[in-house]
Amino acid sequence: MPFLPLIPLLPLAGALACGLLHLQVLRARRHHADARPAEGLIGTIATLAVAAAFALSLERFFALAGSSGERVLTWRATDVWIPTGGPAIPFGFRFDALSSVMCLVITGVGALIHLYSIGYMKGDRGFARFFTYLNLFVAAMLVLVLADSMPVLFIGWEGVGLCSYLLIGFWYEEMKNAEAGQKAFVVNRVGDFGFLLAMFAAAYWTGSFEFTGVNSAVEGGKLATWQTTVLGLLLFVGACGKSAQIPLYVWLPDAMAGPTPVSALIHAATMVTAGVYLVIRTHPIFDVSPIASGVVACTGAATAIFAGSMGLVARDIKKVLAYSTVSQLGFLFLGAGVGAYGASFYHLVTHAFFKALLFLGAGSVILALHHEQDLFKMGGLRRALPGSYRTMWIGAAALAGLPLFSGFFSKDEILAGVLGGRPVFGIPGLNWVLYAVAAATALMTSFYTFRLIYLAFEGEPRGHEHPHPNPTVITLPLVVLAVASVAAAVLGLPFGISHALQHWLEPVIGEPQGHLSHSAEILLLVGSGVIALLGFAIARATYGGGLAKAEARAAARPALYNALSARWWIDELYDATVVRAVRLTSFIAGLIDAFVIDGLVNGAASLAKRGAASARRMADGSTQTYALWFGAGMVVVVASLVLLR
Amino acid sequence: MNLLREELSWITPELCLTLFACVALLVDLFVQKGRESVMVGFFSLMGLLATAFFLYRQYGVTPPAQPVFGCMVVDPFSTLFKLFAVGALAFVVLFTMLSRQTRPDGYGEFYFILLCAGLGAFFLASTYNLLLMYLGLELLSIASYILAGYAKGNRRSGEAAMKYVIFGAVASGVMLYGFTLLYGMTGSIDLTVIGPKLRDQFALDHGTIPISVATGLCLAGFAYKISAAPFHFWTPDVYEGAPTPVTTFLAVASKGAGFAALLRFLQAGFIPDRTLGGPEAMMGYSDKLGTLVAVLAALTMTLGNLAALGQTNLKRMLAYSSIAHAGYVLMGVATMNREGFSSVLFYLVVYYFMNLGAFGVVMYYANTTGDEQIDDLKGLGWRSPLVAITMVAFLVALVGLPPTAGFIGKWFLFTAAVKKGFLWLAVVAGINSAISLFYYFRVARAMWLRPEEEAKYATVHASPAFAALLLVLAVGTVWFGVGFDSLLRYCDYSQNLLR
Repeated sequence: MPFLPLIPLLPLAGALACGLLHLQVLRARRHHADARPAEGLIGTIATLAVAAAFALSLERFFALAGSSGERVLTWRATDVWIPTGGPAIPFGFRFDALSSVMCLVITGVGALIHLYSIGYMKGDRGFARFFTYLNLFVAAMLVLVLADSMPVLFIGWEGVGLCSYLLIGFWYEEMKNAEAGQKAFVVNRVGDFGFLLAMFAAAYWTGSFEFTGVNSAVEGGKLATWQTTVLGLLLFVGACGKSAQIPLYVWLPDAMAGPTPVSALIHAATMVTAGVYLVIRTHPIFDVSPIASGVVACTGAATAIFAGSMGLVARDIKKVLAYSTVSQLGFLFLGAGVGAYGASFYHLVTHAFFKALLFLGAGSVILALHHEQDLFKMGGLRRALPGSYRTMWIGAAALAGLPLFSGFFSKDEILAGVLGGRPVFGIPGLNWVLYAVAAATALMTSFYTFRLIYLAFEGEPRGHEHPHPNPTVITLPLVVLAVASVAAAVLGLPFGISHALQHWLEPVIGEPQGHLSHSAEILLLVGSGVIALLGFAIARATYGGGLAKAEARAAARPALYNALSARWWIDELYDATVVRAVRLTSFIAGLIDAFVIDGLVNGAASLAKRGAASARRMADGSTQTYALWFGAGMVVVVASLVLLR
Repeated sequence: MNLLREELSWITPELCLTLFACVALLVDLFVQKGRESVMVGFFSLMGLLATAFFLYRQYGVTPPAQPVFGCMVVDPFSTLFKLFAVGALAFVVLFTMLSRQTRPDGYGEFYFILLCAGLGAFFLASTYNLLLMYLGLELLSIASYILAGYAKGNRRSGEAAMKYVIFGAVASGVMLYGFTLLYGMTGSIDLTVIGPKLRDQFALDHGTIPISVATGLCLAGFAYKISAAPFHFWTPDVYEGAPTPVTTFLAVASKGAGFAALLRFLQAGFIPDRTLGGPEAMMGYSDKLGTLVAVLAALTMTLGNLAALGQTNLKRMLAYSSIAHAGYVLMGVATMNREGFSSVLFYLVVYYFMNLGAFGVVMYYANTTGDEQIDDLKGLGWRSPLVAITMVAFLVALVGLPPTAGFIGKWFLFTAAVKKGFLWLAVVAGINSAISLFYYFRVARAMWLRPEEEAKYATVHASPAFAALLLVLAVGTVWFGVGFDSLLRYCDYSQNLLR
C-alpha cells in the first residue's frame, strides 16, 4: 500500500515548504523590516497539500470499500522499529473503517479551514509560520489516527499537542496568549503521562504494542479484570487530557487565545476528538471492564452538563463555542462509556462539521468587527453579514439538535444508546440518571446556541456600525460546511432507514449492543425534538426582545448567574489548590536550587577554573618541561607495574 | 611463485595503496602547474576508493592464520581499522583539496606522504609481529612529522614539526626498548608466540619485574601515540601548528591506528584466553594492567578537559578535546574484556564522524577568515546557518548528548567500565562530560546567542562540495545516535580478538 504513508507525508511536505518560505521571509526581514511573505503561494501550497491528502484518503476509502474480507489496508515500514527487551515496536499504518472516516474528516474539514485561513490570516506577519504549524498539525493528526500501534499513535499524539501549543500561543507577543499555550501544554502533559503508562502496561501485560495485539489479548480474556480496569482508566486519563474532560478540561476555554481557524480545526473538529478516538480504538478494554467504562460514561455526562452550564452566560463568542465543545465532547464520552460507539462516532463526525462551521462563522464575525469578540457589543449583524448569518444558523440548528439537522439524529442516537446500552457500573438504574443529565444538557445546548445567534445577529447594533464584508475564501468554506452539517444526517437515520456509518464501522466496533423497541425510539426522538425546540423558544423569548430585558432577568437570580459567569470558580479552585501547591513547591525548589545546587555548581565551576589554570600552565610550550613530564610519566608507569601488587 | 602470489593476495589493499601513492607522485610531475591540487587529489581519492574496494572484499573472508610469511594478520579487526583509516584519509584529502592553507606548490608530495602515512596505519593495525608493528609506527610517524611541518613558511608549523620529531623519537625509542626486552625474555618477536611464553613465565611464578618493565615501556610508547596523559604534551602544540587537514589526520587516523595496535598488543600478550584459562598470576597482572590504564584514562580525560576550558583558539581547544576523548576511549581499553573492546571500536567510529566534522568546520572557517579564535565566531550562526548548524551537531555529539552518536558511544563505554567494576572511573568520566559541556557550548553560544550585528565577518560561504561533506558527517553523527544497531553488530563482529 504505497499510498498510505503519503497521506500524512503530503501535509508534512507542505509544512516543510511553508517553513522554508518562512525562513526566507525572516531572511528578507533582516534587510527590509516589513518584508511580506508570498501569501498566495504559501496558502496555495498548504491548502493543496491537505486537499491532496483528502483526495488520497478518498481514493483509499473507495479501495477499502471495494475490498472484501476484513476490510483493512495496512502498511508496514518495519516490524522492528525499536527493538526492546520485550515485544518489538513496529512502525506501520492501519487504514480501516475507523481511521478511514477520521482521515476523511481531518483532511476534508482541514482543507476547508486552510482555505478559510488564507482569508483570515491575510496580512499577518506570521502568515507562513501559521501555515507551517497548521500543515504540521494535519500531518501529526493523520499519523495519530493511522497508527497501528500505541507508540506510533503517541508520535501523532505529541505532535498534535505541540502544534496546538504553538498555535494557541501563535500571537505570543501578548503574554496572555503565551500563557494560554503554556496552560494547554502543561495540562496535556498530565494526560500524556496517563497514556504513556497505559502503553507500557499494555505492552507488559499483553506482550504487544499494536492495537490488534492488545485488543485480541483483552478479548481473549488473557488479562484479569483489575488489569483491564487499570489499563482502561490510564487510557482514559490520556483521553481526558486531550479531549478536555473533567478535571483536565480547563485548558480548552483558554485555548481560544489562538487564531479562530485554529479553534475550529484543532479545538473543535479534530484534535480534541483524539481521546474519543482512542477509547473507540481500544474499546475491548472498556467492554470488559464495567468500572473503566462506567467512569468514562459518568465523567462524560458530568463534563457535558457542567461545561454546558458555563456556556449559558459566557459573553465571549468563542468562549461560548469552547464550552459547547467541551460539553459535546462529554456527550461523545457518555456514548462511548455505555458502549454506543457507533452513535458516539457518528456524533463525532457531525460535530466536526457543525462546530467547525460555527467557529469559522464566529471567526468571520470577529474579522468583520475588527477582532471584537464580546457578544454584548455585537447585534444586528444579520443584514451586514447575511452569509455568515444563514450558515451559522444552520450550524446552530445542528448543534442545538433541531429536528432534521444532523446533530438532531446523532445526539438522539447517543441518548438512545444511553438508555439501551450496557448498564453503567453494572447498575441498570444509573442509565436513567445519565439520560436525565444528557437531556438537561441538550436543553442548555439549544438555549446557549440560539442565545449566541440572537445576541450576534438580531436586534440593534450595539457597537460596531460598519462591519466590513467577508471575501469569498471566507464564505465558501462556510457554505460547504453548512451543506455538510445538514447532509451528514444520512450517515445514520433512525428506524434503520440508514445505518451507513454503523454498518461501516462494524469490523472495528462490532454489532451495536442493546436495542430499543420502535415505539421507544419514536418516543425518544420526539422527546429530543421537543427539548431542542424548547431551548430555542426560551432563547428567543429571552434574547429576542433585546439585551436589556435579558439582563434584567439575569439580575433577578444573581447567585446562579454569578456562579455561572464565574465558571463555578473552578479556575479559582485550581489556583487556590493545585497551582498554589505547585508554586510553593517550586519556591522551595528554587531556594534549594539557588543555595544548595548553585552553590555546588559554582563551587565545582570555580574548582574547574582553577584546575584549568594549572592544567594550562603545565603546557607552557617548552620542550624541556614536556620531556620532564614524559620521563616522569614513564617512570611512574613502570614503577607502578613493578611495585604494586 | 604460486605461493608468493597466494600470500601476497592477502595484502592487496596495502599494495594498492602503495601503487597509488607512487601514482600520485608521478602525476604531480606531469600535471600543469596550478592544477596539481585537483588532479593529484583526484588520483589519491581513486586510490583510496580502490583500496576500500579491496578491503571490502576481504571483509568476512577467513584467511590462513598468518598470511604473508607470518608477518601480517588479516581479520575483521584489522579490516575495520583499515577502512577507518581509508575513510579518514579520504576526508583529509578532500579537506586538503578545499583548503587554501596548504602550500600552493608541491601537492603531489603532500598526497604521497599522506598516503604513506595511511600505509603505516595499515601495518600498525594488522600485525602481531613486533618488528612490523614498529616499522608501521615509524612509517606513520615520520610521514606525520613531515606533514606537520608542511606549511614551511609558517613558524608555528615548523615548531610543531620539531616538537613532534623530538617526542616521537623519544617515544619510539622507549617503545623499541620495551619490545627488545620482550624479545629477550621470550626469544620471539611474534606476539602470538610471546603470549603463551609469558603465560608460562607467569605459571613458573618467577616474579614479574622484567615483564612489568617491558610492558610499562611499551605502554608509554602507545600512550604517546594516542596522546594519553602524561605523554600528551606534544599534542596541542602540534595540532595547533600543523595545517588543519594534517591536524585532522593526526587526530583521527593516526590516533585510531594507535588504538588498534594497543588493543592487539594487550590482547595477544596479556589477556588470558578464557577457554584455556591462565595462571593466577597472569590474571592478577592483567587486572593490574587494566587498573593502570583506568588511572591513565581518568588522568587523560581530566587534564584534557580542564586544559580545554581556558582555550581561546578553536583548534587548540579541539586538540585538548581530542586528548579528553582518548581518555574516554581508554575507559573501554581498561576493562580488558570483549565488551569493553567493542565499545572502543564503536566509539572510535563515532569519534571519526564528530571530529572530522568539527575540524572540517574549523578548517573552512580559518580558510575564509584566516582566524581561529572562538570569540570571533560571534553571530556566525545567523550569517552561515548551514555551517553553524552542522557544527552544533558535532559539538552536541562531542559532549555526548542524545540523540547523537556521541551519546550512544559514551553509553557503551560507561556501561562496559561499570560492569567491569570501574564505577569510580565512570563517575570521573561523567563529571568530565559535564565540564566539557562548558567549553563546547561556548562555541555554540558564540555562534548563535550573539546578535548578528556583532559578527566580525561576513558570510563564511560554504561551497557546495564542502557543504555536502559537512552534511554527510553531520548525518552520520546523528544517524548512529539513532540507528546504531547495525554499527554495533559490525563492531562486535570485528572485535574478534577476544572470545
